[in-house]
Amino acid sequence: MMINMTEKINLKKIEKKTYAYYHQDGLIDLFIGSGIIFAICCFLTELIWLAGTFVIFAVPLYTLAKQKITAPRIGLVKFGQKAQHRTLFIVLILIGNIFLIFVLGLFLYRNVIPTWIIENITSYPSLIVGYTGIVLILLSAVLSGIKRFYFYATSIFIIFLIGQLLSINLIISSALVAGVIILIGFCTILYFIHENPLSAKAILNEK
Amino acid sequence: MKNKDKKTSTEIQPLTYVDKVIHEPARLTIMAHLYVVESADFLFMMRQTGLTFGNLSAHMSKLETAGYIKIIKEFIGKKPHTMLLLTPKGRIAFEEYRKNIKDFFDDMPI
Repeated sequence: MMINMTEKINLKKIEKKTYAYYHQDGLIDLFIGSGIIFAICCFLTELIWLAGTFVIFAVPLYTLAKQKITAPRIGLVKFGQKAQHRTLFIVLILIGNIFLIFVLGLFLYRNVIPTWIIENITSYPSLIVGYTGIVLILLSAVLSGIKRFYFYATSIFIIFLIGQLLSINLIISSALVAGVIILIGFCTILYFIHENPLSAKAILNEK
Repeated sequence: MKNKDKKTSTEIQPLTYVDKVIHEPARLTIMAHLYVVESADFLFMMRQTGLTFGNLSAHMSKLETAGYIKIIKEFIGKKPHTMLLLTPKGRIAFEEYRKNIKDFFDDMPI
C-alpha cells in the first residue's frame, strides 16, 4: 500500500488496516468461539464461575499461536498503547457478552429476577440474547476493522431469530453461533496459511 | 509577469520546507506505517508496504541515517530478527511533514 503525496495521509485508516491485517489469521475467531463453548460447558455443569478462568489459559495459548503461526508468516508488530487498549476493550466486550448471556441464563434457571422481567425474557429469550450479542460484536467490528465480525453479527441475527421462531433452546442457539465462529476461524487459518507460506520467511527475516 | 512569478514562488514556498527524506513515496509509506505502531519487524513492513527486501533495506538505511528510525537486531531463539521503530525525532519530523503538506494543499486554490 504505497502512499501518494497528493492523497491525504489518513493515519487512522492505516492503523485500522494494519490492525485488521495482523488479525487476519482467524486466531481471534477460534478464541471467541471456544470461549462461548467453554462458557456453555460451565453453564451445563452448573459451574458458571469457572467461565472466567477461560482467559487464564486461553490468553497464553493465543499468544503462543500468534508467535508460531502468524509471526513467521506476516511478521511481528507491536501496537501502541492506544491499540492495546482497543484490543483489551474488544476482549472485555466479548467476555462481558459471554458472561452476560450465561449469568442471565443462570438467573432464569434459578428464578431470582422479578417476574415481569422473567416473563419478557422467557417470551423472547433468543431475541434479547441475540440482540445483545449483535450489538457487542458490531461494536467490536467497528473498533477492530475485522470484517468477519460483521458476518458473525449477521449469523447471530439469523440463528437467534430462527431460534425464537422455532423455540430452540438458547444453549443450542449459542452453541450454533460458537460453531459458526469456530468453523469460519478454522477456515480463515487454513486460508491464511495457504496464502502466506513459510518459505517467504527464509528469504526475509532470517537474513 | 514578474509579479505573477513572485506570487507563484511565494505560494509554493511551504514546499521548500518539506522534509525530502520523508517526501519519497516509499519512505513516506514506511514512516506512516511505523507511526501508527510501536514497532514492527522487517517482514511485517515488507508485507505492508509491498516493497522488496532490497528496496526496503535501502530506504531503511536512509531513514536510519537521518535518525528517524531505529533498527534493533535481536535473536528470537537462534534466529536473527530485525525490529524497526520510529525515533522521537522521526515522530516529530513526520508530524511536521504532515503539517507542511496539509498547509500547502489547504492553501491551494480549487
